[in-house]
Amino acid sequence: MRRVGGWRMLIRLFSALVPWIRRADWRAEWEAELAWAESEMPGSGRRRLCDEMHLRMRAMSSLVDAAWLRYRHGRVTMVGQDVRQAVRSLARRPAFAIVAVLTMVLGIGGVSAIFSVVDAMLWRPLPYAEVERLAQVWPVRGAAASPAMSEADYEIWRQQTGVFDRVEAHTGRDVVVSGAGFAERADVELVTPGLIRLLGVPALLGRTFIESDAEPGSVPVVILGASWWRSRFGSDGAVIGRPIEIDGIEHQVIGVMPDEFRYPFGVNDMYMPVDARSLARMTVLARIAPGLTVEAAAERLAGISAALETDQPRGVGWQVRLHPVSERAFASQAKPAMLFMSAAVLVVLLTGCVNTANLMLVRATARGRELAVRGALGATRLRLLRLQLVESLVLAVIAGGLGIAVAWLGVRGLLVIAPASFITYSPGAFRIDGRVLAVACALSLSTGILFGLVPAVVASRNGRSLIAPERMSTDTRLVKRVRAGLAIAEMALAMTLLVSSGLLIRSVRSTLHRDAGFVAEGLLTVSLTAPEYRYREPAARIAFYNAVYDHLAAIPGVEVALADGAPPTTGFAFGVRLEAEGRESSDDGQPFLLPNAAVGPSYFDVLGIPIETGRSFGPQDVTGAEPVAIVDHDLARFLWPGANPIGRRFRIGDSQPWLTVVGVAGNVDMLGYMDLQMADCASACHFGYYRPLGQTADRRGQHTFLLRTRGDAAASGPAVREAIRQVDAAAPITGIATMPQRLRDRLDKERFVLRLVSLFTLVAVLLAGTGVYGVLAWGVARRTREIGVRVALGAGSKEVVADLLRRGFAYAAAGAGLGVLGALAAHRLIRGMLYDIGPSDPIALVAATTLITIVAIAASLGPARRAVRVSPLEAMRVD
Amino acid sequence: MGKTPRMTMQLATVLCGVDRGFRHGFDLIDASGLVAGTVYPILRRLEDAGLVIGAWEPVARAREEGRPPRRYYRLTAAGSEKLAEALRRYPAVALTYDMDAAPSPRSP
Repeated sequence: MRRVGGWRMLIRLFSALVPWIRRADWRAEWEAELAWAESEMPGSGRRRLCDEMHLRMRAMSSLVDAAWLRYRHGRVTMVGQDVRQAVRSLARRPAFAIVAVLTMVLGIGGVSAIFSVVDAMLWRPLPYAEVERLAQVWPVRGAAASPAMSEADYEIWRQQTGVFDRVEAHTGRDVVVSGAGFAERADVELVTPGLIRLLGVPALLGRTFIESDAEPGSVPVVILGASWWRSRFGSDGAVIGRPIEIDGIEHQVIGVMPDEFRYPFGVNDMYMPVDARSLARMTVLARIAPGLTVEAAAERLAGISAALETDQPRGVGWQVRLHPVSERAFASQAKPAMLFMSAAVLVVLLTGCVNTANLMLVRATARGRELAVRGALGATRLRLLRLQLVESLVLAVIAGGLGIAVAWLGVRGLLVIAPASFITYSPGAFRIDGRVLAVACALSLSTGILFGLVPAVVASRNGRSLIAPERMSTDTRLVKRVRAGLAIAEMALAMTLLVSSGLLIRSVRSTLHRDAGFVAEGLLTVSLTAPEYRYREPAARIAFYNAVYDHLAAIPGVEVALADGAPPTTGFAFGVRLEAEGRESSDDGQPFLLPNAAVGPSYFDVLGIPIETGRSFGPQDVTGAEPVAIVDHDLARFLWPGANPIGRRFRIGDSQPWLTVVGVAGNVDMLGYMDLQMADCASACHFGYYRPLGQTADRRGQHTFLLRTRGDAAASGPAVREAIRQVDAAAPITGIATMPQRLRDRLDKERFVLRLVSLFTLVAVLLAGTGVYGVLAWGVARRTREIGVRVALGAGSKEVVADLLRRGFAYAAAGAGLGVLGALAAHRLIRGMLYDIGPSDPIALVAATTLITIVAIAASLGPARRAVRVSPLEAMRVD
Repeated sequence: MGKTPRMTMQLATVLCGVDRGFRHGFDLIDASGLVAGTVYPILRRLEDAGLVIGAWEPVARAREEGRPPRRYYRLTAAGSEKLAEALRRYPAVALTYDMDAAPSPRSP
């Protein structure tokens, strides 16, 4: 009988597909059938050839049978069994499973949560139609930008049909929303009726504006923002048509905008229609004509800028700048902070992954014996690989699921602790969307697969022998190097975060403890605005503020000062041009960031700002008298170095009156630090000056009362509210807070970033410690015999311990060195949040290095103790 | 034991074939005219459902013939009931095997 070749190999090959419990039977059955068919075949001739072909075809068709069995039983018997086995095996070593899952959960959850914020701020596409063609049109001169446009400008832009195909305008305004027994302030965006349609976002409820809404005599209407609708109307679907009193006039609600609609700068409480011709100042939003890029449009506009110069009050030298809406003006300022947080959380994820890989490797080595037994009992290498793989997949799936839950909680937590400015000005709402979820899942699964494979490959190689795994020398050198490298990488990543958060901590602390120039303790600040619809004339507003002043001053034990604008340290300033008499102007055209405040006579006394020379303001400084000013110490020295500044004059811009200096006050941080960083000029031009309130004409906008109290400033809050309510119950208080609270609040972004980064740092350091521990413990376990021999030959335990500590120290040193390089790179991201602190701040560097060394040494103590306990006899018995 | 497989004409054919004495996989394939990729999955399904039982022939007999022992299948009681149902539904399948009175080792 002649044999037909090939079919046995085919059957053996296809049998790999068959679930292993049926595999032996399956193979036997097919082999028997084929062998029988082979034996029945005639010996030679053409018929024989046909039959051979037939036999081979039939052998091929066993593939269908095998695949069918695989399909039918594979999922149930194999995967189910694998998973059960993996779970049992993980449950046998719960510490490993818990640590591995926790590290992945922290990484995945943290990344998803942080990315949901970063995504909203920076990456999620804005929901506006043809957003790449939308741009704000800003007139600029030098470094000074003025987003405000006049009606004449607006008309000019409307005529540029070759450049823009649609032009709309908007401006922000504070209004008072009042009802039975309450009044509150709201941010309204006044928009030309076509603006929302230009942005192409449909209303969530009701309708958007139509042209007739802005016509004189039409019914006053309002569209609510989503957050206002939620918080004030409880997301009531029947809100359309309801009346709402705004600035004393009844408006009808005609629509609600969705949460995604956040034009121009984040959350708005409501939108009202306006005719552009009735606005003195506005921001212009234009859609660039089809086929033109932003750059090409800007170029064409340069030619038209000449027309702007005929607009005399503004002066010459103005140009036009286009700000694409997609650039996200506010969010881009927060970009470095966002990227830093992302980097920090990615570090945690990476360290987590590295640690998990390390753990898996330790585990694979520790299980070498078990796997060797399995291999000896007939488990194929593929099967061993799969065992490991399924185990890491089970870990990854658990970690992914928990990670998503943690991310979900994390986003809610972030909404609670994030600075108000992040939430309000974010171009999108914070939420975990499908993409973030997908990233989290991809991370989770790929971590599991990738790091499950490496140890599995090593284990399956070693697993083919029953010899004790610690004696196996195949690729242990490679494994050793990889593991040492991983430990060093972990140390370096942790070090990077340690240095960065050290710098942030130092910066926040030094800023908090910095002398603000006045006595903040015991100071209560109350901001409010005289509602213009009730106090139309300046005289009425002056009377209102005076009445509030008198009522506040009547509170026992309180001294009161009044200033226009925001409280000190939270101020705001534009770049201006400064001109002084008797001074060589060497800085022609350079704008100065010159904060200023109009203050009442008691201001300097109440705040405790020293008047160094000259006098404070008095009742004589009123409109009609000589315009006067008090400058701060630095401004006086800068303008008239070495000379007495009293009696000298300076002015701001060409059109402002000359101001005579009557006094010099101590330096005060009038601005928030953030604004300083944004300014184009160096901090050297951080000057300030004061004007008397009596000489400011219209008394519009926000005013701030500062109350010097005895004892707890916050305790005066109720009395203050009551006093204001007595003057006018319809005057909403914008903000009431103690000055120390405000000092802390102005660093809210830095503190927010710091809190999160500190948390990430802590986790990364712990992980790095675990990593070093893992490497050394593994080394001790592997070298038990060697250590035993050494001890037997007379080596003292001291030498063994010293060797381990030296290694721990080496990891720390290598990690710290690399980490400092990493910190230098990270410094670029946090530079904007650091004040008075350089990247090589010695205290931060020394502290971080010390800490990382302590962690490394602490991590090597455990293995060292175990090594010391090795008795030579036992070591010889280890197989 | 798996769930009862859905009755199809091919399933009826295999069931009927086992009943007529075509007890080995390849015999069934040859007698029924169905391909191996159809017959084997049906046999597996019938076996899982407890309608047929597979067993190995005695080693001694196979050794006499100088080949490995073959696996053969026979109907269970439940299988016989199922066959009755199958023949009521597809009476024509009986004709498949009526050409030959007895199982032949190989069809030409």
